[in-house]
Amino acid sequence: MIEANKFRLGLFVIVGTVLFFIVLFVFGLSDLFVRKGKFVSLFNESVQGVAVGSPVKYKGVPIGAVSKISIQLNDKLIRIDMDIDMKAFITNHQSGEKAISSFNEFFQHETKMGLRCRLEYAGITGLKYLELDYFEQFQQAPVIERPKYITSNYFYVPSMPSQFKDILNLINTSLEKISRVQFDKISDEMTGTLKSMQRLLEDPKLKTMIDKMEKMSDNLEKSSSNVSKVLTESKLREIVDGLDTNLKSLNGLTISARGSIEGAKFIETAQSFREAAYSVTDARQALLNTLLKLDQTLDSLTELANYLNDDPSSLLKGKHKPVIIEPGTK
Amino acid sequence: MLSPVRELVEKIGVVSASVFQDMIEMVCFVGDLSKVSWGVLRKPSRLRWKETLYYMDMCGSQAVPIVLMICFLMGVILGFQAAVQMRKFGTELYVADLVGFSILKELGPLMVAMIATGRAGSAFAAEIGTMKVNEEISALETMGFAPSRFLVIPKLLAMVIVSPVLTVFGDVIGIVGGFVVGTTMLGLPLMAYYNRTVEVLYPMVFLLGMVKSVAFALIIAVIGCLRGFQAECNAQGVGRATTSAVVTSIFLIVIADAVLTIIFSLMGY
Amino acid sequence: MSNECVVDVKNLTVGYGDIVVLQNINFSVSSGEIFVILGGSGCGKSTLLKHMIGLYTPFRGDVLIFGESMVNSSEDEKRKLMRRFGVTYQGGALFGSLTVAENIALPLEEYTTKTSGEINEVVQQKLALVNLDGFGNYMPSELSGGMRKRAGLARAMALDPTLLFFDEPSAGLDPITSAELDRLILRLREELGTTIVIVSHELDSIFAVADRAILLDKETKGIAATGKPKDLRDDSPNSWVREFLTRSKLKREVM
Repeated sequence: MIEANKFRLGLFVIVGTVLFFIVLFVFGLSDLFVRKGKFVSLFNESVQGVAVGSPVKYKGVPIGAVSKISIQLNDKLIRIDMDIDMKAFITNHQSGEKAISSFNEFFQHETKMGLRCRLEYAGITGLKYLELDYFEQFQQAPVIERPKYITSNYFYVPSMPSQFKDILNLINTSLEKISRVQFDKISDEMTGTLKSMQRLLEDPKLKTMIDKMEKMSDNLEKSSSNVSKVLTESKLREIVDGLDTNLKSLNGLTISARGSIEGAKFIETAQSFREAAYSVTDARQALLNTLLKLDQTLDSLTELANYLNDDPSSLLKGKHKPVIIEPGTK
Repeated sequence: MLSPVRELVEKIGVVSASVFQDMIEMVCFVGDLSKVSWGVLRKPSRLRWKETLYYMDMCGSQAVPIVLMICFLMGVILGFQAAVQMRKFGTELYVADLVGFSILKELGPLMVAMIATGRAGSAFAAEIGTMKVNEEISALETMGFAPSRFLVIPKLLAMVIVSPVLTVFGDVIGIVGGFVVGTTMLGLPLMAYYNRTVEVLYPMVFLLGMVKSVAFALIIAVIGCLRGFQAECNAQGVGRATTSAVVTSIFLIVIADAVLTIIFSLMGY
Repeated sequence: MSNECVVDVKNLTVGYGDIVVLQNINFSVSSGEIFVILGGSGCGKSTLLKHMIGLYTPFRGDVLIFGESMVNSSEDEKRKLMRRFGVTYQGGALFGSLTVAENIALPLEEYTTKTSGEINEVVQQKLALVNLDGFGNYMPSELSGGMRKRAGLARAMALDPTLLFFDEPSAGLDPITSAELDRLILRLREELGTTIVIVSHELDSIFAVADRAILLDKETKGIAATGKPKDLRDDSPNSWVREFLTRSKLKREVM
């Protein structure tokens, strides 16, 4: 009864053991058989988002992973060690020392040509990967020269500030400028101004002035109404009619004159007469214009008087405008 | 008449005393086992090989189908739940990460432990409890044998050997479960999912899962046997011992899981 | 029958938890004697036996077996001492996971350097002793109650002990099987000179086998009487003792 099914048990143990080693191999023991190049880069910016195991890519080709992240105490730089799978690069030399030296040459050359290592976002999750590429701005960007403590068995790749860092810098400087604005002082000054203004407005002299102005505007109104009374339309018509009859008689005179004077220098006389008549017509027109303008002036005077009535202080402040404080200015 | 408050306080006192007593018994039992194990270790011929193989078969190879089924379904469920959420962000590929890490770190060892508690832990308690009722334990003792050597060491050894093996089965089939969801429901390319899984998982995660499963196996075997020895000498006693073995095992497994997870995370994994 | 003292119980006080079941028990068993511990249900005779064979630790007092203390010795010494006597339990207590032969072979495998052939020989011999020839490959669950008891006896005899303890040998057996077992016990003593301690309340078997008996009293938590069962029944000054030993007869008369 208490007898193990030896075949089943054996099968179980064998299959389990085989699976165990397969899993180990697949999940990374296979890495032990891969030749790796050690890369190092130094950053003076935050490496937030990079973790051990983060991918390293060369122009988008995955070539390895981050193996260690540490801080160099002597220069406070962040050191990122990477394991690079040498198989990702195809060289003319299959293996051995020659492959490594050619690889070394390649990298030293490429670094001169602008090969840089930069942090890039891997997606929206905030995770980052390291991108090895040639960046256009590499000449402007500050390069961290290979420090002495990085020994020759490492490939040193200088870092580039990440794009993210550029944006961050911009925001930071803006914020700094804003922070330099002395809002306290501005508000103090404004309070002072407002106070003195209030004092000014409360000045009794102003009151009397406004009163006087009110009176003045009243007088103005009166006089303007008198003017308009005088210059009613019928009167104007009378004047115009009078002018018209005058003109008519002038016309008649002209005709009679033309008849009597025809022969001698008629034409000139008539011409001058005509001109005289025209100028009279112009005068009439100008008068009409003047009268109209006077009317308009009176209207705006009334308006002014009303406005002053409503807001006497506008005499001092000018027309009302909303106050806008612009940041960045004192 | 006691006031209700006093009654409550007394009850708490009685319960904590019994829990404390239970813990002391557990420690004594482990101490006794260590002594016997040392003896067996010095003289491996004293091990009951036949029983050990029997329990390996019973707790190991016979448990394979249920382990495969449950762990596969765990992988499918995990993958499905993660897929629903991750789809919203367009991060379907991360299902591979979630399923892989969850299965290797937690669910593989834990599910195997739960199955083993139900299958083996309860069986151990019932077996030893029944032997106690039949005076077989007394017989062993008066024959001059240490009962633990006959009854506990083979079970313990068998569990410690087969539990990691079962966990390997569970881990693999669980990841396959996530794989099935990833490739069918999410339509991820087979190789993309596979590459992602291989890329993010590393051997230490897998090995620490094995360590967990060994710890769980020890708990299951020790608690199952202890509860059997503590069983009252009647049928109900055996039933209660079985229940207690399962409940205590699950409780201790969860605690051990938490402790191990903390230790592993302190180690940096 | 020599007067060598095999089991010596001195001032033994036993019980469970806080409850004292028996106190100040003193008796001794001589070599080659069939000694019976008698008593009604719940008087503590099984408890007394379990203390004597070292399963429980007494409150006070000592049990000497072959002159060595069962109480004050270390775990290992106790185990060694235990190998020198055999115990037959009520239900046989055979290991359910082993066959009858394996059960009997177990102590031989563990404690002797015999080869498997020699062990098998001993097993067959012991099975023959208890009239179970040919049952070696049976599982205990396939045997009847009486056969299990006899198989248990065979296992207890495996190391040829000179002292045997029986817990309720006749309990649960029909009268014929019970009588067979009694004859087996007598034969063992005759053939091998084994000292036998029996816990029982089956009066028929007690009168058949016992050389000497003690009667435990639940009320006084002590020994009510010591002596040959027949003498106790007929001549005991204590009427309760006489009543106890004749009760079954009274019952049968009533029926």
